[in-house]
Amino acid sequence: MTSPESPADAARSRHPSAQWRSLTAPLLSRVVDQLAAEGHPYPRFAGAVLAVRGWAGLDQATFGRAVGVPLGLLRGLESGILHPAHARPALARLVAAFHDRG
Amino acid sequence: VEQARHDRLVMVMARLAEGDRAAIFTLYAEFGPVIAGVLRRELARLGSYGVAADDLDGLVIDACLEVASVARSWDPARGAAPWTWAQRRLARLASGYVGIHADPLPEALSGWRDGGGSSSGSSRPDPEPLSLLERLAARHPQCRLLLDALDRVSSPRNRQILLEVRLQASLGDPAPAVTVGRTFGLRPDAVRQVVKRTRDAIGRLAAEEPRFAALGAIPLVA
Repeated sequence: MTSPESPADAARSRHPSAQWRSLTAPLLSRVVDQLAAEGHPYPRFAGAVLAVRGWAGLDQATFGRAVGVPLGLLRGLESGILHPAHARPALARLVAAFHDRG
Repeated sequence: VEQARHDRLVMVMARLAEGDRAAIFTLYAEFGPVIAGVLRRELARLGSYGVAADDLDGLVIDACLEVASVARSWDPARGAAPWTWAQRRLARLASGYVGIHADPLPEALSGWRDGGGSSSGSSRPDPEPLSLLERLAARHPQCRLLLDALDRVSSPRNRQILLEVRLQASLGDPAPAVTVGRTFGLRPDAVRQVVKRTRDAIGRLAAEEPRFAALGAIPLVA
């Protein structure tokens, strides 16, 4: 038997701020725009890598180890300098899954 | 739990201060609801209640970018959360949002009146809803996104029809398709068909292209 929701929990769930849901696409679009305005050649892929790492909440070193990408390569991809083809398969799959998820 | 959350916030802010752009996504994902709450309070203070979720999301993104831009100056030792410390900036965002929705209106209506119509009558739609959207798009990312989507999926005439029908409906017109049909020389069912097709096309675009995903939930489409 589940315990009934407390009045405080019920009030919190009704509060407007509890209805807010984060959306990936608009923020990603803003970051890609920034990168493009700064003249980075591959802003879309760079933005997606930043978004994936940001949503994972990891720093570059930890994320790089997790996906098997050397730090220098990850920095190049995130700064939009390196062509997306340089991305290791695991990272490319993560970015593709991120795009699929929207 | 609160201490752990504070430590996490300090770490995210430190990354932002180092110029780590990925941390903007972390801030948005993990602290967006809190920032949304702050913005709601600011908007309510200015008399703006019931802000649409898409508009609020745009404001939260703006707020995250603002917080990121001043991350190097934030001192966690002072005890205030960064959005409290940067409250004036967030208040300016809220004020700008309210201003966008309040200030341009008299100008748009003056154009309507200059055209010979009555500002109180509902028999003639606002002649420039598209230009109003373009003006808003210059300052509001969600409006810009909607404008881009309309450019992609509809002709200038059809997007004008869609916006005019929505404008009439929002003004309380019980039969907006009839009113707009008169203006464009169309039967009401033809107007409804244009509206449906254009809305469906935006909905498909929102479903297929991540960039437009946010439009899937706005009242114009949903």
